[in-house]
Amino acid sequence: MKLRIYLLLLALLPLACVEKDTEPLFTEVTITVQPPEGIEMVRFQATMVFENINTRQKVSTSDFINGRLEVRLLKGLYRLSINEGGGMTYYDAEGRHRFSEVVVDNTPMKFVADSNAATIDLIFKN
Amino acid sequence: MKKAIYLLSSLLTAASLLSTVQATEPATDTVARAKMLRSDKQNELFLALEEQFLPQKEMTSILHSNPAVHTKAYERDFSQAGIGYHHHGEEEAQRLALGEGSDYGFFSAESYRHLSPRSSVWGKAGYQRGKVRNVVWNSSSDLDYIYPYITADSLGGDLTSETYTFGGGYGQQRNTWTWALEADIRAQHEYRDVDPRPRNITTQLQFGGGVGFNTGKYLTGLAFKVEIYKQRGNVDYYNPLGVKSEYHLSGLGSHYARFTGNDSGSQYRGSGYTLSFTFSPRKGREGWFASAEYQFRKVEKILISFNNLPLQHIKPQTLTAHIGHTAARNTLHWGLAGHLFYQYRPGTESIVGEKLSNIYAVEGHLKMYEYSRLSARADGYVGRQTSRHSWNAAPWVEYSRQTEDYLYPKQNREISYLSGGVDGAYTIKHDRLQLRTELGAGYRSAMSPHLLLAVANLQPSMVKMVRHDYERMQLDALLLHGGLRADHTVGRKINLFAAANYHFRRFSDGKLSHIVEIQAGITF
Repeated sequence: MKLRIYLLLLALLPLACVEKDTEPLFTEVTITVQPPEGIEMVRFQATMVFENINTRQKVSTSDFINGRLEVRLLKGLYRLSINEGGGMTYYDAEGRHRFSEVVVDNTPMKFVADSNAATIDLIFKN
Repeated sequence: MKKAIYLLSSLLTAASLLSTVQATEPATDTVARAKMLRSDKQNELFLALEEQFLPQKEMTSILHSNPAVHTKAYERDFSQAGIGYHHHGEEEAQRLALGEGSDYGFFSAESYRHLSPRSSVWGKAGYQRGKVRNVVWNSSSDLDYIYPYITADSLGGDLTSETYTFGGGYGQQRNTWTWALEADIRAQHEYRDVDPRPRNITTQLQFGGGVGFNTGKYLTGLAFKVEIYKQRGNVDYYNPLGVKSEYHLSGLGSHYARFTGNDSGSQYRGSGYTLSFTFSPRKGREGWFASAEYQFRKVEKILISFNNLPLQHIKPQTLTAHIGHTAARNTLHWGLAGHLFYQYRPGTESIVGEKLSNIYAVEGHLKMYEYSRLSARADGYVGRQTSRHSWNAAPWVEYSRQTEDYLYPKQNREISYLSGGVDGAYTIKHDRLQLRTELGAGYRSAMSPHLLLAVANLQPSMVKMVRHDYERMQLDALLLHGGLRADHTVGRKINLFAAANYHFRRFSDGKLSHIVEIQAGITF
């Protein structure tokens, strides 16, 4: 009888391991945009798209606050882009108030640690 | 094929010669009882055949996972070789990836021989060749072995399949303990002659050993087996206008999108081990028996055409446990057993970095897929054996539950089944002819089905595929089967046999499934 109870317990033991823990799949990414040299950024407003190179899934967000964005992503390799119309108001070297649309370098970035921080250089479209 | 037949015949001939020149073991209690029941005229091979078909042998065959138990599994020598034809037809595929059935011819042979009162040898060999019909969403072989990481396309078609199997073992009893070694190999070749043209070559090798220690009336055993698996395949298109993408599936309709396209070479490499404990009656067939087995495997999918990139892997862990008791009084015999099965199969995908100098760096791993299956089964039998006929009835009931999850985006499929039925067999024995009939009926009831799909993230065609399989899964089914086997004596040490089996399933939507198998050959 004891043997049967032990065997039953042994068989059911792995059931304890099936709890779905998805937390290790994700990373907290902090992106800070860096305006070109000699520019004083006033406001940055854009939708940034994170395309997972492996899954081809895209995540987009425009939650920039003072040029800083926090987003939760599936760990992986991402290509970043700025949607059409996104840009920055700023004072140029002569002190003029201006607005320019921006793009970012599309070299894929690796976000595989539990948290990642990256500074992205902004490139003026015009 | 010729090689397999040659090796088999060599094995059987050697075993037969050795068993002829060496003294055979004196009759044990079981054989003595059987002999009392039978007249001297009766064919020795019929007694061996009867032993093979004993329901208690079927119930305790799970203990053969330890080759040391196999060493003393049968009292009598028995060999069988035959050819046959198998037809499996589904009105609608239960799983698209498995096709709508198959047709194949086969040759099979098996043998169990005592070399001396203390040692025995056993072997088997087989070859089958035929077609699997309308396989869709699967360009790989051995679906259940590598699942969910199969290569797939939406076209599919019939597959030509040929399989070779060969294996055997040797065991010896020494004083209070028994040892045995065993090895099996399977090779498979599957291909299609029209686009898309998958070609997969698979080999699977298992080898291991076991020991058993006499502990009073019982044999307590331990066994360890190692397994090596390899499957290499690719998918070709001869017509450049009809090329469809090959997907590397990840489970529940997800796929590894980055490498979608041509599959000019992929490989599955697997390895694993099995550790088992057995407890069985040392002499005769009656008494308590139990076994517990743990199996671990790792199967990795590698993209050869991307510089041997390890893309995905599974690590299935399986635990099985059995306990039961068999008994006999005069001509009446009965038994009862309980079985537990649990498998946990996590699947992991590689985070593949940028391609630099034709090297794809693996930057990390994500466990994205989980599958688990739990089943509990109870079965029993009661029967009677006399010198002229025997019968047995074997009721069974089983509960199983399987869950499948893709973790992000969250997807889930799960279902439970409650099944039950009764099988029976009746055998008429004459001096030169033995007729065995089998009948069985059962019912499978599906319970608590659930499907959650992230349809916005999946290809519509894959959503359709998953939903198709899910709809088939949640159907109840009526199960019937029947069989007939005739053995006729043609010589002092040779019998001819012919057998036919039929399995029928009727699903609750009215769709039918048939399996017919006929076989003829010799026993010696």
